[in-house]
Amino acid sequence: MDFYTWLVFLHIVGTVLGVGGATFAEIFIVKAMRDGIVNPEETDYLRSIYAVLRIGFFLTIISGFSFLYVYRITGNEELLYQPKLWAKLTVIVAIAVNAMLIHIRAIPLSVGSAVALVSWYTAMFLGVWRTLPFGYFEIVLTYAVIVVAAIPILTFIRKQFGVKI
Amino acid sequence: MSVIFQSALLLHIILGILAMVASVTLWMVFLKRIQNFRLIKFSAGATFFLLLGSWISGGYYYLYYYGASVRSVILSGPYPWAHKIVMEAKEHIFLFLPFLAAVVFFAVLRFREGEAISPVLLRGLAILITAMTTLIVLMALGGIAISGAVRP
Repeated sequence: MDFYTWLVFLHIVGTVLGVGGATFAEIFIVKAMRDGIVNPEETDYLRSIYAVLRIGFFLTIISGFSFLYVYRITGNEELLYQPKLWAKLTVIVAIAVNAMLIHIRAIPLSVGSAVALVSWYTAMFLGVWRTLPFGYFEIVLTYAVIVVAAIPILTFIRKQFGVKI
Repeated sequence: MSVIFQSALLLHIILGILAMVASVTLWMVFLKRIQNFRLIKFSAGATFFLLLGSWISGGYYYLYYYGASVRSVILSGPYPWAHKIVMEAKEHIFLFLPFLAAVVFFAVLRFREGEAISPVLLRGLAILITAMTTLIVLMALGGIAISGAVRP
């Protein structure tokens, strides 16, 4: 495998771990909070999932920046000014800030989990949709609207599964 | 670009990204209610040494390649602001980042388990670590903007 294929592989693994981790974090939060308390076993599961999420994030960041380096040295600098790339970077910064706020308990886990879930799916979506015909502000505004909408929607879904909030 | 400059640029990017990860880790462990001093010292040390490595490799690339071969290309291209504003800001902020990291590292090295730490010092360091982490992220984004403006 050449260097570029390795980068693609690492980037996909990172995204899979991130999207999968965010999805399972949401599922386990719903399961754990049905009785209103998170017991030590559930805490342990959530810790493992957040460790997977962090590994996914790290792989995505390292491989993502390596792509940018490859674009620079192969003369494809115009790719660095794609609106989609900057929207993806914005989402990545949002994922990091959200993780930091969850970690120091500055925001409730239920809100943080919703933001992480939407953000990881958005990052994957932006990576998959190669010819996205929208500008930076259109993408970021749509993302912000979806994040804001996802919080009450996920709260409603959690209530349907018997979560005591 | 010769292999040595390619390597210097790659090293600058990778060490810078790892410094960003270390700095975010430092921020997270420092602001936790129950602090893990060993992890705080390790992540502060990692941030300092990684930034220093990125500083040296980036400085080498800047002095011997960027100034001679890249700056003029950006200035004559469609995005001259990438040098005039972003690089001008980046090269000044970049100069003092390792010193900022050194201040944090040497301050946390004095922490001892079980010893009370002044709340004023803790608050000051928290502000410093937040500023340093934010600046490292902005430096990374600035680097992408500068690289993207090279249009021969």
